[in-house]
Amino acid sequence: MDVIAAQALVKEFKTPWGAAARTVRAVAALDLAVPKGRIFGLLGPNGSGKTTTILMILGLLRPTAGRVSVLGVPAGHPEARRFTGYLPEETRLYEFLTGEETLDFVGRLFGMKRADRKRRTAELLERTGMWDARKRTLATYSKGMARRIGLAQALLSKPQLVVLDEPTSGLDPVGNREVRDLLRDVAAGGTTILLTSHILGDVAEVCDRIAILHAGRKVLEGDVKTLLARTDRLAWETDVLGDDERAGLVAYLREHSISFEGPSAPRTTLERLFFETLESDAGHGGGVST
Amino acid sequence: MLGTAAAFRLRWLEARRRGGLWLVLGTALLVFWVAWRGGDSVGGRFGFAGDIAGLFTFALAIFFGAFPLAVDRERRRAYLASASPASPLGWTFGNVLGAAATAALAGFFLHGAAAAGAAAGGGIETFEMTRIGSAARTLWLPDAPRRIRIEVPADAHSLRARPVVYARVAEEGSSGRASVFVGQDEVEIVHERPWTTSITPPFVELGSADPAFAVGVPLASIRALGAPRSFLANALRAAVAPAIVAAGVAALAVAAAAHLTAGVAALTVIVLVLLGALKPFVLDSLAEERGAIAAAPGAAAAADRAPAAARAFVKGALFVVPDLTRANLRARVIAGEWLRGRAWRHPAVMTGICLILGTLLGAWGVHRRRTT
Repeated sequence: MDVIAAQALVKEFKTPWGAAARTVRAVAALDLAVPKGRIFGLLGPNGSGKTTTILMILGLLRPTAGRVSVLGVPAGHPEARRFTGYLPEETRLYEFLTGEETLDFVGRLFGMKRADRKRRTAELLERTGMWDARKRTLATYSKGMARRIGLAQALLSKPQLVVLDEPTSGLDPVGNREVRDLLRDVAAGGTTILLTSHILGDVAEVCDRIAILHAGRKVLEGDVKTLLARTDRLAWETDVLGDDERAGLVAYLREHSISFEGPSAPRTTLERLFFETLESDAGHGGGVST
Repeated sequence: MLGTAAAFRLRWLEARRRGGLWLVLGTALLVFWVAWRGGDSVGGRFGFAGDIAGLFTFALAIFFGAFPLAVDRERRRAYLASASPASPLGWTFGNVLGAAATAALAGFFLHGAAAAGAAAGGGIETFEMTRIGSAARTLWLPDAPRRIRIEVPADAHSLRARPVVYARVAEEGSSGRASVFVGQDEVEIVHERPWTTSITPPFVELGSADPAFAVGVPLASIRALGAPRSFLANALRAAVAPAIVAAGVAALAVAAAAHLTAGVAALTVIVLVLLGALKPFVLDSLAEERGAIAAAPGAAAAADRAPAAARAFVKGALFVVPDLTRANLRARVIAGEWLRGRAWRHPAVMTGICLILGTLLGAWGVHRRRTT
């Protein structure tokens, strides 16, 4: 059974007044099936219907047409809400609560018992790196810290489905990597994750499957590995070659009419450089120079 | 109901962390100071400070009730409850309870501060309005050397304590000699002080010896200056009823906020309070209407009471009454006369109705906004 099943989902918004009244179709005949235990990425430019789709899945927006079910029950059903965690695009929380109180509050909303709330709160505060800041009010948090607490609240009730709108927005590279690791762990435990992100590198790294929306329509869907694989090209990476070896290899490729680019030295990723620099700095206890 | 405990605790913490309780404390100190340093004139001390307390109680009840839900929506954090399995009814009920608790606390402290300040200043003016003739209870006239037993019904609690008997002087210009009647029974006056001969004007016509007036007027009044020994009782008596009423107002504010923006919600509740409780009742202008209501005894005259109350309502609507507490008190006393014998006129019952109504209307608004 698919955790999320949407059929012919349509959402139209109407501007109500006078001659300027018009209908905007935010989502058009969207079919979506998200199987259990997968990390599913919903991609698309701004205004493509991602957040509208998410709100319909959560039962916070009523579809104009079509159906959407979550965990086998209609979206918005209390049973669906009970097993769904949600983090919106912007972390909007009660800034007068501490991080710990925020999680406790959400636990109460989900009807969790006191002992469970305490245990899960401690667990997630540790997991999101917020343990030391747990007694501070959210008003004193940075954007990234608030995002981590937002993520923790979405995971608090051990939901079967987690819906995350831009989960890594506002996080530094360290937090970004921690969140990606956390999502992988959560998915490994059988939880299904639906996420949107504009950071395509994150999506490529963490998602099993993606759908691309454009103007409210789904224009592409598939497994990430399949979609990103290029079967018409082959890449090699070798130790550094001497001039003679390099010339011989090029001559061979030309002789056999094999098209190629390069050779060139491969580049590391900026993320890898960032972490290597931090690790090096931690090892030497000094600053970084270029 | 899922969500009630979460909402209640949230609102309580919100009131504490956002300075709501400091606001109450600060206002209570102001009220205390006014009552303490206020003049000794008739209507001074507790009267003026009590009016300030009443004004701020209503303002804070509306503030605590109207803003949280609306601000949640405007700051787009309502999703926390909306996307959770908490029921709209449970969530709203928790909000109503939280707002009612903080408003009741504000009402209690502000009115208690008024009474305490007046006591610290040398005496408390206490007033109570009531109908005559039901179960008796004993009131203290605290600066009297002994107790005076006055027939005042036990259901006479109102917005704040007002021990009331009917009093009139025996003869016009009779140099301070006065008689106090409860119904048709004369009560012995121990102290013959000026204030005993000039008791609250609407209830007394100096020099009138018409016993029918005494019998017919359903309300009786006496003012007592309280001595320190009755301070706590007076403070409690002054504070409990406003606290209850404030809870009801806060509940209505929550309901309004569930449907409207914070500002419109506050305005709506203020208008409701003014229309529902204040408009008909302008202090001295009501003597005629009160007389008309009272002069129509028995079931046969019930039809006459409604027009009289309606006239009072219209007349009151022409005035803006700054004295919220007193006006509200009189509102309910007159409504009580009109609705004599109907238990739901009691402030606690009315507040209970407000809590239920606030929850149901609010839950409807929360549900309506949850899925658009």
